[in-house]
Amino acid sequence: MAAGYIAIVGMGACTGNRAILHGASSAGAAAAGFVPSLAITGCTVQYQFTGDIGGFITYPFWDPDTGIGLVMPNDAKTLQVGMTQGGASATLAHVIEEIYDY
Amino acid sequence: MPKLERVVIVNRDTQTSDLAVYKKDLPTAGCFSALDIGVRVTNGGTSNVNGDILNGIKHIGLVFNGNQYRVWVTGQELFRINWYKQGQPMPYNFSEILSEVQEVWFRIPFGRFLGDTVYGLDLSRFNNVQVQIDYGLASINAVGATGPLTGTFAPTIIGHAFPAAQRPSFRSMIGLREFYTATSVASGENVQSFPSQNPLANYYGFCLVNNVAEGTDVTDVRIGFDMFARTVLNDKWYNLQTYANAVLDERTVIVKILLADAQTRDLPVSNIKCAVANEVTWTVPT
Repeated sequence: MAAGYIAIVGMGACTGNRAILHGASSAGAAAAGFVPSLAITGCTVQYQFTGDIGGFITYPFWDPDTGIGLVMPNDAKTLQVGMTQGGASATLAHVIEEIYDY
Repeated sequence: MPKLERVVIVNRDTQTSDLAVYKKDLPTAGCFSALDIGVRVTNGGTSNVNGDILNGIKHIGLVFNGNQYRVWVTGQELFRINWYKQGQPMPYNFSEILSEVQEVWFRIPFGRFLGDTVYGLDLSRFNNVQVQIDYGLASINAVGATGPLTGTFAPTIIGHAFPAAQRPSFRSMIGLREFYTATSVASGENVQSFPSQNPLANYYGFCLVNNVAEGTDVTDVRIGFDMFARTVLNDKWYNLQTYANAVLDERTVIVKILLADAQTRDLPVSNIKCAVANEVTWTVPT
């Protein structure tokens, strides 16, 4: 980077998993302080995003140490999961971890 | 517990097709505690903006004896399940930079932990066990200069195997299946029955959407028996998400972004607490 220039990058508002990212450059003589310049483009930035695993929940049936809590097939016949919906267009999915005996 | 060996079944097997189901048979003998699957895709010569490699993995499966799917989950789902179970994400290089290689790894565990001698996959019990990766590069971005480069999908499969002289006699193996998927609607409760052929150990629920706050498209979740006459779970989405994240050691993903001011990005994390820019490289105007 040339002397007298700095890049300022950051994050604006976030909604769910979507972040608005900002970048601008400042330029000018060091003695006079930096003067805001133009928004940048084509800037390579390595970001670290910290948050929650997006769109994910879990409920363990069993205690893996003891095996207690496994839902056996006879009980599973009437087991259901219900999701109360409040908005359209999300991809819903249910995934189950099962035990297969040899 | 014996020390596991790492068996490379296939290494960076570059595919010419950009849309296919990659199939690879596992050996016919051996005891595996888990299977690691790595996937690489090269970015085009200009960029691959907002092109998350996870979107290109439509499903990862494990098919037994030709028709029994004991593992069948999407890349987005398995990445999240791995993150939750291990407390940190599997290796994940999400890059938008031209000509760079994006890479992500997944783990399919057959036991409760690596080296479990009670639960695991004994390949000698089956005629055939096949890994299937249903992929499509166009689901990442349009294939070409500003998306994934054509002909660069390259999977790697590595087994965590017990030594031949110390193969345990497994009692069972753990499988992982997506049993229902749909698009949410604006209101009403979506109720689904669980599979009931095998004992059930853990449930994972997903509500994947861009640019919508968590707990909006699905507000409540309940699990119960006999038409919910007896419930084992009845809670808000945001509480359940808090519990799922409370156990994590690492809550950060690193993404290499080709930034222009005021652009948006869709990420595997939500409720984003902070974003730290580590490294900036850009052409100074002259």
